[in-house]
Amino acid sequence: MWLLMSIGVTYYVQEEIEEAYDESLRTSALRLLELATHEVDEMPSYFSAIPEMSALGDASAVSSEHLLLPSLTYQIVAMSGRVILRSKDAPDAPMMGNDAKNGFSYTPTWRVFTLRHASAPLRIHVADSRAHRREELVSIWIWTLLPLLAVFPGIAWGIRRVTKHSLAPVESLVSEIAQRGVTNMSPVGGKGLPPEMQMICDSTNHLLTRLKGALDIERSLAANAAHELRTPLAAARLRLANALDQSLPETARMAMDEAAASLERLARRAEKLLQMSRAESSASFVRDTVDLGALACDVAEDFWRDPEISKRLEVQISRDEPITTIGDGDALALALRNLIENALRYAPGASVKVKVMEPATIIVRDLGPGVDAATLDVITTRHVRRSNNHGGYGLGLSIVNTVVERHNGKMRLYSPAPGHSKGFAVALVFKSASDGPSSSLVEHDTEQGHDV
Amino acid sequence: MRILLVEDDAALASALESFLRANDFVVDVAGTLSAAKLALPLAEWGAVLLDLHLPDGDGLDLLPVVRRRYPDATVIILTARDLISDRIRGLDAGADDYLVKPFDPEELLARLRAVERRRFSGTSSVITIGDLVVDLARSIVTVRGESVVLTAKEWTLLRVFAARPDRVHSKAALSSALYGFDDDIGSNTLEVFVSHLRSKLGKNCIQTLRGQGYRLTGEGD
Repeated sequence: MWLLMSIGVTYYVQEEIEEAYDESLRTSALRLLELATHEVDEMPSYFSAIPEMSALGDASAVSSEHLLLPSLTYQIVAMSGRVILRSKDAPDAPMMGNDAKNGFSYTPTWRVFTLRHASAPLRIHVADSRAHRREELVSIWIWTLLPLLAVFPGIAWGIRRVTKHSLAPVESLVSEIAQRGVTNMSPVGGKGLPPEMQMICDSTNHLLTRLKGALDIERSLAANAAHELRTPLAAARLRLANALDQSLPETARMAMDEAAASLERLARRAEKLLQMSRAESSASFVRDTVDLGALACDVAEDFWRDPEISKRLEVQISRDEPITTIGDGDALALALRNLIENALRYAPGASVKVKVMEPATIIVRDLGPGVDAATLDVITTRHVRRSNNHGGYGLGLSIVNTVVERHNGKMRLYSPAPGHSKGFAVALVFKSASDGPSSSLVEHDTEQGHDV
Repeated sequence: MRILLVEDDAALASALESFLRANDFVVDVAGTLSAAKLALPLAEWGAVLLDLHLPDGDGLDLLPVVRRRYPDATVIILTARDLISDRIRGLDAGADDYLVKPFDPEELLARLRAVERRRFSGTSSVITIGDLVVDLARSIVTVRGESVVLTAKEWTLLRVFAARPDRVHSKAALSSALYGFDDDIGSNTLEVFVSHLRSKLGKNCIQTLRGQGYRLTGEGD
């Protein structure tokens, strides 16, 4: 745009310059011719001798004293075609032929104004160098474009500023919406938004409210289901236990035992499904600072009530200061609980160690038989149960994985346990509460060879 | 032993009642918090089985009432709330145990029998933890059958550990058990007593959980 304008201006200026120069050429020509005529009148003898004259240089030297106009290039030419008078920078030969008419014309190097004397056999060529005119034009060009170059970065910066300023509410709205998720359903703020953006904002808030409602229903369903299922299951188990205390015929006792076993499986399966729905139920997750050492102790205490397990299960914490992450303590406990249950179940009689270490890492390691490489691959990709004959429901690791993913953590499986020839280890690596996105995963990888 | 069962679900309450009766306990059932409060002064309760989700409030509200009236009664929470935060809240409120429905009936029975034993053999009983056998009533501890002599402070510490071998005991709790308010406690005094116990009972018998506290494992060397 600017370029087009400057081209237009230059064209216009060129026209004007041409006109102005031409005008000055014409005026000069008229004056000069008058002067020349005057000289001719003063020195008729001199001019009458013109045809015979041979030493033009002298004539020019004489005339220049009288007719010297430094900025002008001119020739006064006799009818015969000889140059009688010329300025210093004018060429020796006439610029135009004898047939030159009055008025303007171009030669390759000059812009010439020709004027014939009304009475004397003389004509005058007043000229401007075309190169000189071109130079003028170019310098105008440069002086119109140069400020543009200087101003251009400023304009670019200004445009950026203005755009940024006017888009700031949009950007803040976008980032606010981006922050909304399962853990944050608060309405997005609509301060200082243009009306059309305010409408988007309102619709988003409406959507968020409805989503929140749906998630709340989902959460209370999971919580209610827990209560609704657990209480009758407890009653049924008690009734069966009661019945088994009676003296029963052998066949009835066997049937009752079967029923009790089925009921226990049902209870466990229901438990896992509830845990899964809780792990997936987005709305219920909170974000607190969780001390992983304390969490490991709390979860382990529940297992330590069993004296047999108390001997097998050990918790080890790598430092006195809390090892913390940001997350939902209940969900993390659920994950850890599942890992410990798995380890106790799949490594019967073997020792199980829960190790809490920096940065925000929990490792559950058993020294049971472990699994072979192919199974480890399958487990890693699909989180299936570790072997078929232990009554797992394939949900334990999925629950753990869901919880870990919801915390942006990483789950790694090892078999044999690192530093041992057998066993199975699961490492959960979370983000440290103290720092931001941690480099913990890399660090952890280098620790694979260590004893866990 | 007389047991107060606070449970609003009629089916579970009646199943639990007949199960406990079959196992020679005396059981009374309260369906609401207010009914439980009315029943409390009526008898000498050895244990209270407490549901948390009650029609007229949170079962935890009953805990201070029970504790005030029967400091020695055992309170076992029976609830459908399985979150770790619920369990911690319940134990912090003063419950002795926390069982999540559907609990194993035999497990409940074992807990109640332990309570009964403690009640009828005085204030304590013999506790076996790993290689340790701790006779709290007679202040005798043996490691793999061999008797070990402890000082009074060491016994105080061991009693706290042995009473709840399933728990991690914080340094603060152990220190307050060791000392009265007026005692001048050095910063590492607790560590000194723990190390004394370790040297007498076996170096792995008390496990350190860094930043959390200690736990009695009862393991020998």
